[in-house]
Amino acid sequence: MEENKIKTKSKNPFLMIDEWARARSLWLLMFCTGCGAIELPPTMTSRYDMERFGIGPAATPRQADILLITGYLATKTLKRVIRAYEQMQSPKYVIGFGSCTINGGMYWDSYNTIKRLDMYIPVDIWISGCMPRPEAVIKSLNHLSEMIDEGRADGWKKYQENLKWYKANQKKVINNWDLPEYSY
Amino acid sequence: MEDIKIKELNRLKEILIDNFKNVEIDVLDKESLKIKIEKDSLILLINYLLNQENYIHLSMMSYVDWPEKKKIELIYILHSYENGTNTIISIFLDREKPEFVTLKNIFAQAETYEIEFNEMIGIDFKGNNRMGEEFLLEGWDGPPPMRRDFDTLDYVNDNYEFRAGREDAIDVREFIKNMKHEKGGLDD
Repeated sequence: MEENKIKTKSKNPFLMIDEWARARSLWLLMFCTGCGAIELPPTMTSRYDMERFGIGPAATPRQADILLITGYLATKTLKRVIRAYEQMQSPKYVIGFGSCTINGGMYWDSYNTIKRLDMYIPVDIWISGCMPRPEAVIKSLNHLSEMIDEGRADGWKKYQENLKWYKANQKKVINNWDLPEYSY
Repeated sequence: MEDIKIKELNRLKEILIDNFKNVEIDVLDKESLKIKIEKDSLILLINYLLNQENYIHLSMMSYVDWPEKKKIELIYILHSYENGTNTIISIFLDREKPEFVTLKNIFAQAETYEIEFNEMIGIDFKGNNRMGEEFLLEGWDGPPPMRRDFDTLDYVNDNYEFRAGREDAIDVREFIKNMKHEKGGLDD
């Protein structure tokens, strides 16, 4: 049976079981930032069912695995998103929905929104569209499961290694900075 | 139904033309009256409409920036439940130093509108002690962003970076046209 073949990177049997289990049960944080949050109820309810893949909603950042950034981010929201991202426990994954996270989207010439999400938070998967359909969302979540199986989804490691670069970018955009200084 | 509204508005128009000076009135949309008035007589007009003519609901406040006339227009929209009619009152303020009096003691919801206007276009309302409070923008130290001479694209190019485009940078319409003729491309 090819579907149940374990294809992980690590050789340690405990880590292999960990990664196999992690890819098949993911908890999604319902942080609905922009316009794209309206595509989440159809994805979760019975028509384009998401729970058959083992993905369900979580209430707080401390209990979640995936952070969905669905749409544009004003600089006021970016400060709160960074706070929620740093409260999640690793390993954690970020998905960027829509064209506003890729290159600014419809609000590319606005004085208040950010243009590239990649400079402030590490992103694992991008979904293009304005807004993407629920079928596209489910395909990307399956792709994320495959990436976790093979050990390729390591955005959280990049954040720990390049912390100074991310923090410098964040401080340049957010003007009233009062978050504490983290270090790993 | 519409005849009753237009009759009421015409009656109101006659009264206002007789009693206020320097006023221009039009009947718009079959249910609204647009009034342009001097800024010194605005409070008198609002008190008259509120108490004698039953326009008890402030629907909205808004603004228009006229850089060529060197004025900022401030607009109040009042609504009456008796007939379902609106009055749209507009006054003109000086653009260099726009200031006016607060209406928060007459209509309570005007306080929030005034905080927003102070941040976005720079009108100072006397008597409202929440001026300068941060409402929509945090840590903003540039000019008020809703004025017509604030160039948003210059600001964006100074402060943010875009992602670099693709190296070949093909035009999207040509790409789609070529896709149609290939095997397995788009169908018409």
